[in-house]
Amino acid sequence: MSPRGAPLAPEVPQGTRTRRTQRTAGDLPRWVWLPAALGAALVVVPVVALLTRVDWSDLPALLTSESSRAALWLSLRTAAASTVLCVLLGVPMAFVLARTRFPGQALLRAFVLLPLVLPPVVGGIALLATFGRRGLLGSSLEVVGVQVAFSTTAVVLAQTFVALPFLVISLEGSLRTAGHRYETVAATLGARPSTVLRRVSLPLVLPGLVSGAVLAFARALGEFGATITFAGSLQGVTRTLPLEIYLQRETDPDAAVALSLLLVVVAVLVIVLVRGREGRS
Amino acid sequence: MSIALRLQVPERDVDLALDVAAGSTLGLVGPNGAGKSTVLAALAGTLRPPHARLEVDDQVLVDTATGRWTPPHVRGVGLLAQEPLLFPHLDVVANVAFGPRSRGASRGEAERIARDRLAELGCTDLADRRPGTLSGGQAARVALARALAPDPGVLLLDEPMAALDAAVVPQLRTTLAQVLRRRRDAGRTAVLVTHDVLDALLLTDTLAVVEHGRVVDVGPTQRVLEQPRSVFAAELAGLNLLRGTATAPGLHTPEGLVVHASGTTPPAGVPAVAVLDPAAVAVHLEAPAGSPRNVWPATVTAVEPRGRRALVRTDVVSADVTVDAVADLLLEPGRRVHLVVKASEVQVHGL
Repeated sequence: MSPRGAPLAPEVPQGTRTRRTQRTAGDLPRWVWLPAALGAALVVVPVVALLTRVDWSDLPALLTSESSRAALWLSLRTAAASTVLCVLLGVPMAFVLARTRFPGQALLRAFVLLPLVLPPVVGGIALLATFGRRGLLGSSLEVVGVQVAFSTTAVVLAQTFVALPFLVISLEGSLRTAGHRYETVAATLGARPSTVLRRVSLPLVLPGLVSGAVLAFARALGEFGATITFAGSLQGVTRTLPLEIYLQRETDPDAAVALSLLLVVVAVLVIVLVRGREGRS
Repeated sequence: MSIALRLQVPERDVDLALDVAAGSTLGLVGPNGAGKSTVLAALAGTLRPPHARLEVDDQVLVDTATGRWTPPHVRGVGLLAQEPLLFPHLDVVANVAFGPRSRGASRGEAERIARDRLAELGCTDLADRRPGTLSGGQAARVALARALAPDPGVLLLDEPMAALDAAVVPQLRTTLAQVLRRRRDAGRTAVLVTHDVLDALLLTDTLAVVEHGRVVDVGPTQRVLEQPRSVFAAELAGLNLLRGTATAPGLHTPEGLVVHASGTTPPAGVPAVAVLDPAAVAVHLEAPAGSPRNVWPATVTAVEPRGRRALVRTDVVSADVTVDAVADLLLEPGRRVHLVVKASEVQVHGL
């Protein structure tokens, strides 16, 4: 982060080692490094600060307490379920957006991306308006004895709502990059549209689909606002890891820090996984 | 399979009709953007034209007047593009087996067909390779094997050798000629888009010249190249072509050039073209005296060296001369010369 560590060495010794050709440093004014370093610090320092607060000796006990285990297990289950739901719904959405043209498509795309910019708590209220006891669909569901709000199903719905755009965007980008020439060839070889989708299109964009699914999983795992609004905070039923962290912060800060560390580790793993794939392809 | 295509695509300025006899190979030549790819796309079904009628073996596949439309996968029309476009996630055998498998062959049957096709094209040893590990020539052969595997009644070849190393082109051309001959005997039809006169001569029976979305000449390949009626076909065949009106001595061009020809000439007054070999054009600095020959004043526009000889382009016709002559006469763009051609070297054809 310090400017001294920057690769701007003014005297490049004429060594025997082959060097990669670089653009000269003259392209960028030096002052840019200062705000850039501040920005990086804003992200890195809090994570380091979190690490300094971790009570390493009690960590195993804190992570394996009953409420922690319940929250972790619920989070993993619901995030996995909403990832599956995202794939089932998001893959067709990405294909429709990338491979077809119809009136109102731009509007639909804008709506699909809405949860990305919408505050999650607003999403939660919107879901309540839909699936709550007096909601648009909730009142009808209530009649047949199905109650969605404040259940584990609600957690999955809330997470899917916020995570879906990540998968759709990632996959739509892959589909556009891949183009449709392979699909054309497959069709002239006699493959029906379903066969083309299954044997050509999907395998070609598999890396994009995996990245999108991993991102969606991570987003679902961290979901807080929509969940607490739409599903509440019932231990073992709707209280996921972020909710547990928020509650523990009041009563047992050490436990909150320990669980936070867990989510940081998961987040780092996700980034490594996604970036690793991007780097290879 | 015989083909009858009537195609109109106003936004690409294409309006043409093409017929291909069963068991023959039609060559499509013409400048870039003339509409050749549009024709292939319409035949393959990857383009849905606003006005079209397509019959293959008397079966109507497309008729926009009645709303009839046959999707690409049930047309039995194969396509081999300039790039091999092998599916990168499948190995070579699976790529070639893709067609038969898609048409309902069992896994074992499809693989047997794939290995047979690969063996025919000398690619047996590539069977288990991934497309990414193949050279350009190998990939082109595998792509050909894949296009042949479903045994399409019509095979479309879109400049299949244009993107290849010059070193591997002759061999692939020979292979393609064998493949097309075999298919011809089985009544299979092919349409080949090319920019190469050798491809046209060795691979096609009929040649159609497409310019500005129209067929400007079509006929037996030999005839189209030897008696070209379009500037493009003449260029392709390496011949000079002058357009004009037939007259008693031969031809009159709109620019006022009088062309003397011998032999049979079309009746005076009809639109005609004069064709002459650049090798028959002599270049002089002064107009030679006497003799019933064509002597045309001209200005050199370009000199293209070709080994020991050079093609001297002028504002009238091109001349094929020795490099010594280029040096002796100081031929360079802007140089004023006289082109001399014997009447017996000029052929005039009515259009």
